[in-house]
Parts: sequence; structure tokens; C-alpha cells
Amino acid sequence: MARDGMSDEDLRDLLRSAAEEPRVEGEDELLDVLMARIVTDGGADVADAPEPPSFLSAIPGTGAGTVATADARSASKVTALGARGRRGRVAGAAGIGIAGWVAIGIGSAAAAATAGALITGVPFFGGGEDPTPAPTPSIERADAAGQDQDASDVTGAITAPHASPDTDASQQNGAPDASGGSGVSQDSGDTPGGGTEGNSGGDLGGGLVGGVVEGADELVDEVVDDVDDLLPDGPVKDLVSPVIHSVDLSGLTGTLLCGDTAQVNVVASDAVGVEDVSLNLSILSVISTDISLDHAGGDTWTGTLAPLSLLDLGGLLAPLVNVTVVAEDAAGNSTTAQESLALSLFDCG
Amino acid sequence: MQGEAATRRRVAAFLRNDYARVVAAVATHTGDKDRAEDAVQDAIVKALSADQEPENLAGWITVVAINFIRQSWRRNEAQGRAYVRCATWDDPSDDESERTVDSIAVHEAIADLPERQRLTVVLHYLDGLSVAEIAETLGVSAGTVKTQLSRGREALAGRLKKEVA
Repeated sequence: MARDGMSDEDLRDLLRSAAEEPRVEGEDELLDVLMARIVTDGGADVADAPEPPSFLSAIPGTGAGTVATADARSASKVTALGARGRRGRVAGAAGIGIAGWVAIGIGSAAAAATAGALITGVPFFGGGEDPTPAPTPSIERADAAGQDQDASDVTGAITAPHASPDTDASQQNGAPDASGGSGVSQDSGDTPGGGTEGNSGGDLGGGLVGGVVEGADELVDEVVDDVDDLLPDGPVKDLVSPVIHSVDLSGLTGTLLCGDTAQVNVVASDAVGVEDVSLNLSILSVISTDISLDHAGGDTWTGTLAPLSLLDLGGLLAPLVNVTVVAEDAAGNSTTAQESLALSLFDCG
Repeated sequence: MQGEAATRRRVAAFLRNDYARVVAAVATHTGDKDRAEDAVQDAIVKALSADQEPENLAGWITVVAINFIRQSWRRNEAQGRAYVRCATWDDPSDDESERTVDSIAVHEAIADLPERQRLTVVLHYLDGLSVAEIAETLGVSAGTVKTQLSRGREALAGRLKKEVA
């Protein structure tokens, strides 16, 4: 086997070689049987089978199969954080925003696992819950250039395009009723519990033993991937600009031309927080003075302008002064306000 | 649901073109050859009984069949339905011993992958689905699929190199 420097093609060939396909014979008989189940029975024997997908409908394996142990091990982690279905993931977004991101941000695996527990603990799927897909989360992309998915990717994560009209909550749960064969049953009586029990804190126990988090790195990965599914690629950015509520220039008229400094006050607010407020004073497009205002508490910002001389005024006795105030938040969103006022030497006492 | 004749053609086409591959993919993912074929048959019935056929039938059936098997593990239930057994798994002969050893190593490497990585690897490399098709089938973003594939590829390559060493 060519394993050194394994290319994608090498890996594909290797896997396909290892995953031997069975020889298939008697397809006609199989076709007849399947058609009978589909057409005659209308698929009733699998009516309560799980819908795909997915990662999130994973159910812990506990039994047969050569990978059953590994499967149970990984599935418990998947279930703990993820097995809550599409709507659950949407509902979990708020939880991620508060707890999950904080956990990831501080690099604490234990905290991330706790965040996952909180998310998992949300009662996403009650037995009779309305299977109507949840609305698309309204989140704007911060980095349009970096995106590699379209809107359908986002929508696809929270809708159930393949759900048939008879799809019930159990199917949304990804929890089939299984009484025979390969886990498929005509009995839907205990179906709703399947997904719920799979999502309950009991499953989280697979990752928590005596308060110690096992496989924490993978748990964090699961949380990050869940968030990836919900959010468009690129960081979520603050796109709300600050608001300038008032600009107080009253100090200019009485003092600026009279040899005194003049104070200006600006009141500005922002959804996240105003980072900087600056002011430009210009006269006749000849004089231009920039100052950065200081935060005076609350939404108030203040600054002091140096006195102007008669020379600054270009010989005019009543020049028109233009004042431009710019408020900016940490994300770079800015808002501009402009005021004009006439200064007069006659205002000097 | 489609008309009966159309459904029959669809099932026949799937059995002819995809059945063996999908059974192999499900068996590789779950390590449960015994139930793989049964689960795939159930998934076919499930898919084609619905009003709307999944866009990528093979991928959809693979995922649903895997879920069936996992569910049956969880409930530890025995076979209850009579299935048609069409698939025959060849026993390796002596001259294939080296290949068999490789096969075991690959299966073990796949089994060690986390669930998400294993599923994307199986869908991509064995079922032949593209990243976009996997994303559509699983209802996740293409970015997530790429991430899982990348991690799975890296883990498999590392594991298989170690086997050789």
C-alpha cells in the first residue's frame, strides 16, 4: 500500500479496496419484495424510521459489530452535544452564544462540555412537538469574501426537505422505533421517547465520569462544528452604527473668539459601545482643527477647542464654522453629524 | 410517492448500480455486515415510500441505514423481519492474506474515527458523494463537511502510516 505521502486518490483507492463490495445475486426477487413493501404496504413497516441526517441523530451503539465499542464511545459524545436534531441546533444557538463561545474562548474543555450539557438540556423535542422547521437565523456575514457556502447551506441545516407529510416528531427526533429487523418497527407508541432519551442528560454521562470530562478535545470540536452549522462562515460582526444624540457647541459662540478655550459636548451611544468620538472644526475650508473627545461617563463625550485668532477667521467678522462629529464603535462602524454656526466677535463680552 | 412503474424502475436502477456499494459502505461504517443489507433494504423502502424522493438517494440510504443499525444496537433487538439476502461476502483466500491484513488495518482505522469523521469519510470515499452532496444529505454546511473530511483524512493517513511502521 502506498501510505507515505498519501494522496486523496490513494486514500480513496485504499478505502475502496478494504471495503469489499459483496457479490449481489437474486436482484429480481429482492426487487419484488421491496416493491411489495413500498407499494402494497406503503412503507408502513418503516414509517417511524429515522430521517437522515445525520451527525446529530447519532444514537449510541451498544451492541453488535466490530466497531460497536468505538461507536458507543464516540456516539455518546456526539449524542451529548449534538443529538438534538435540526431545530434543537437552532434553539441551541442562543446557548452557544453565551456559554459555548465563552468556553471556547477561554480554551476550557471542561467549560465547553458544560456548555454542551446546557445546550443538550434544552427540551428541544417533546413528544408532540410541532415538526415545522424553525426559521432561519438572521445573522449577517462579516467576511463575504471568505464564505464557501451559500444560503442553502444555512437553510439546509435547519429544515427538513425530505420529511414526508406523515413525518412525526419521532422522525424529527431521529429516533426510529425498532422492534424488528434492522431497528424498524410498525409500532410508533414509544417513538417520541427515543430521541428525547438519547438527548437527555443520561447520554452526557458517556462523556462525564465522576465529574471528569473524557475526550474533551473532541467535545470542543463538536461544539465548534455545531456552531459552524448554524453560522455562516466568517466571524459574526457588529454592523450597527453608533447614534449621535446631540452635539452641544454652545461653548464656542461665547468664548472661542474671545481668547478662551471652548468646550464641546457630544452624546452618542452604540449597541456594543462607542469606541471613539472625534470632532473637526473648519472655517472657510482654510482652517481645520481635529480633536479627539474624551469619554466623560455614560454616553457623554467632551473636548476642548483652543481659541481662534482673528487671523484664523480670514478677516471676517462673522465667519461660518462647520463642525463635524464622528462617533465610531469597536467594529469600525461610524456615524457622522454636522453642525454649522456663525461666530461673531460681538459675542465677546 | 411516484407511480408504481416509475418506482419499480427506480428501485431496479438502485439495485443494479448502487446496492452493493451502499451495503459495503454501511458495513464499513458500522462494522456490521450482518445487518448492513437488511438496513439498506429498509432504507430503500423508507426513501421510496415518501412523497418526495431524496435528492441523493445513495447518500440518503447510506445515512438512514447506518441510523437503523445504530438504533438496533441501542435497543439490542434481534432480527424480526424476513429479508432477502442477495449479498455474499467473499472469504479471503490465502493468496489474499496481505490484502486482508491491509483491509483489517483500514477497518480498524475507520472504526477509530469519531462518528462525524467516519460518516463523512464513508460518504465521500466509498459512496462517492461530493462535499456539497454530503452537506445536503446531512443538513450541515459545506465548511463542516470539509473540516470533518480533513480531520478524517489526516487521522486515517496517520493511523495507516503507523500500522506500516
